[in-house]
Amino acid sequence: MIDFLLTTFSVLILAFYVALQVIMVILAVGSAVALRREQIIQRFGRVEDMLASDLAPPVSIVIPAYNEAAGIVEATRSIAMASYPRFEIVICNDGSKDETLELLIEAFDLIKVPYPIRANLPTAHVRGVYKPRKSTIALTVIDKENGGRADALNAAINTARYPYVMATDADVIIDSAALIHSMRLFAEDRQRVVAVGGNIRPLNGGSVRHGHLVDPGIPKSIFARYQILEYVRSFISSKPAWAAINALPNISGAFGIFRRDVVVELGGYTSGHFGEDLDLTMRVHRHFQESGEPYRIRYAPGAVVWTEVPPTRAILRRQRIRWHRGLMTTVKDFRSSFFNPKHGTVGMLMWPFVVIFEYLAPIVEFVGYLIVPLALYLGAVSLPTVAILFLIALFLGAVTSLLGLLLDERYGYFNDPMETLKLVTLVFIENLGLRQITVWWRIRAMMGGKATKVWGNMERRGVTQLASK
Amino acid sequence: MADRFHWWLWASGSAALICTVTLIIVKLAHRAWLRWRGVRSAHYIGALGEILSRQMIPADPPKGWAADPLFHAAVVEYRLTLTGEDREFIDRFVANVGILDVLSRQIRSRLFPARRLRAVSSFVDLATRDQIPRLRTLLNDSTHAVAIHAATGLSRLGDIDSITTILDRAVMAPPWHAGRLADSLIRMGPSAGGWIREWIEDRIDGPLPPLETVALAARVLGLITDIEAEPVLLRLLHSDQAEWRVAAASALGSIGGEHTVSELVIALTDESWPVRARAAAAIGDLAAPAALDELAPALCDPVWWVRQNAAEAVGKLPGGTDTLIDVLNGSDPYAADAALHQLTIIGHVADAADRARQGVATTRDVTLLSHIGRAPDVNRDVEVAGIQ
Repeated sequence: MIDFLLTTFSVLILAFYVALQVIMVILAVGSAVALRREQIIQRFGRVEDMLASDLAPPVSIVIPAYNEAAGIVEATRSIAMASYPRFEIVICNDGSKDETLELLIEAFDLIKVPYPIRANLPTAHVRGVYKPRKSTIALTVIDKENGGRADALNAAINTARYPYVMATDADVIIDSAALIHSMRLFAEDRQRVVAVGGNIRPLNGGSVRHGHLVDPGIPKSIFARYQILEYVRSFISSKPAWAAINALPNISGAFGIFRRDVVVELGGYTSGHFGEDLDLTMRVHRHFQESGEPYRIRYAPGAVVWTEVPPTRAILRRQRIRWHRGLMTTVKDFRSSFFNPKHGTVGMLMWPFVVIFEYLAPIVEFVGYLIVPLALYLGAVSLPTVAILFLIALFLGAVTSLLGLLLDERYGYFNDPMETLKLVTLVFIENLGLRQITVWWRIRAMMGGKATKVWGNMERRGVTQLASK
Repeated sequence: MADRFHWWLWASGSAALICTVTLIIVKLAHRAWLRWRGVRSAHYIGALGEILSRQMIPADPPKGWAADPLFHAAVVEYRLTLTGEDREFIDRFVANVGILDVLSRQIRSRLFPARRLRAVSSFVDLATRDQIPRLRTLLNDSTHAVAIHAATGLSRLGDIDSITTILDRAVMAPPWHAGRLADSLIRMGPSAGGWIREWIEDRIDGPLPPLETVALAARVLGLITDIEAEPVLLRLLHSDQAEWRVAAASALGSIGGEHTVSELVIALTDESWPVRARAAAAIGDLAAPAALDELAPALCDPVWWVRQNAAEAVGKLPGGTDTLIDVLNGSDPYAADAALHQLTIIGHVADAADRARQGVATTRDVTLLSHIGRAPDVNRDVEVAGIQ
């Protein structure tokens, strides 16, 4: 009986994994179609006309900053160089303990002004607002008491004066055409499009000159390298397909544009939430699904943003625990969406996928790592069977990663022979330890323990010092 | 039991192998293709330079040129750098090589949307006046991007006869595409003004006037600075469509006119706040000193955008900074906020602080700086109903 149960469990775990990979392949196919369509418009649709048109919707770029002294000035300069006719930058210094504010004041010749803030969203106390002495750059810096990332974003949104707000991080390099590609989606359908997500890529290993990424590269750190595959699987081979059926699961905090009035109506980002971006995306979905108002959440694969990803095991661990706790809270908050036909494709497809294959997956996988050796020990399954099951899982996982890399080739990154070799090797070895480590971190997140800070304690090197790390 | 999974192992292993090999081949091929494309483009540019310097059109150019998108791109790029006779020479060369015929064929075929759109893009950039009928046909294409390309080409060629068709096509397009179709007319310059005015008057007098396109056309009149557009814009400013009034106020700010300022001052009390905001901005653009007194009340408007635009406009007028400083001592804290914001933006606050440090502060500098000293808490809620 025990043998039967153990064997059945082993097969069910494999079936779960196969189902996940089959869905990933379907998403990759859908993404291929969506990416192709987008690329045609990007290349031959005269999107650059937006640069010269005052009909381009204006956007406020809101940046929360906490202890970002290492790269805040370079990042701000990089963002200020974005090719877009009408935008402003609003940086919120969330009570940094380092010299973030002082560096900004010095670099942009800021002075404290009694600037009126619309208190649409409640935030921690704002200590002051700074503007450049001469308005050479549309920049506003808010200095407030520490309240977390979401609180800082809300304060910046209060200060933003344009109808669209783009939330991003202080350690990113925004591709110069990113705003054109993303704002075009709003411009084309102003009535329905309420949010647009961008394509996030790891910056580590790349060369940055004068605020621009001149040569993306593969980082030396195995943990940073692993995240290249993760980002490709998410942003290239999944999100375009989800967006095509208006069920984008998450608009990343590193690049997400929202209609300001919608964010304000929904109460802004949730302070203290570990996954405030996922939470806001889901609240937008739920709000419009329940109100019956037509809406679209779009994805702009051409809007590329390069961000520094955790290069070490310790930082990655903290980030993943934080992310999974954010997911846990969101799953709990949105349990009513699970297989809820009233929530359309979000309730019937996307959210069940997230709950089953992202929230519960670590548990299933972890149980598998316990059951299979036990079954092996008790003789319920033979060693060759276990080896075969493991190889099947490895090959299927590799297929989805390779499909993602194939789709990513349209952007032309990493096609040096050595880089290709490194990526292909990584595809096969990521399942030999790296994946298991992240599963364990997510299990740790579920077990609770010491609360993780809302601001990740990532050691910033600054966007200019990242080359070849 | 292992036997049962052999098929799965074989299938997944094969799939992984196929994907790996495909990825390696695609990456290497892509890399080689990018290099080949760069070299070939350089060759084409070199050949074009040689042809132009010798002023000799090859009697029998290589057959592949006419069908090669890289060659089209090279010609388009090269042509942009030329003017006068050189450009005419390149146009003759393009016709001789048969590029436009190839592009026309590709445009007719709807099998490959990407290739078609690329062909339209090149065709529009290389078209001469002989291709105007073809471009007019493309204007009615069901793909909006194709129509926008065609409108851009017609505007580049200065085909004012197609203005009406472009605006009529804009009526059928969604707002963003309609805006870009209307924007294409800007390239024609003031010579397009008469046709646009005529179109607007026809449509606003007709049944079911197209609201958005009329507003877009009015906006274009401002952007091309059609100085004869004042009457038609004033008609729109007096209409009962807020969208038209906004566009008219904005356009009037670019062109001015005998009655413009007085009409814009009246528009400062319009029931629609976007009209009031645009009117305030337009008065600032016209830098009409006579309107300074009329603008001051707009600083107390209940809507933030109107106050802000009014403050910006006042700041642009002679004596405006004094008015803004006076507002600081007024009874309306919202007007004071708007005034202070503008004084900061134009650098007046910083200048006043500098003068105070140097001991040469004026009375108004002292007023300004003392106001900042007792400025309200920045957390104060200044939200106004209806505006977020």
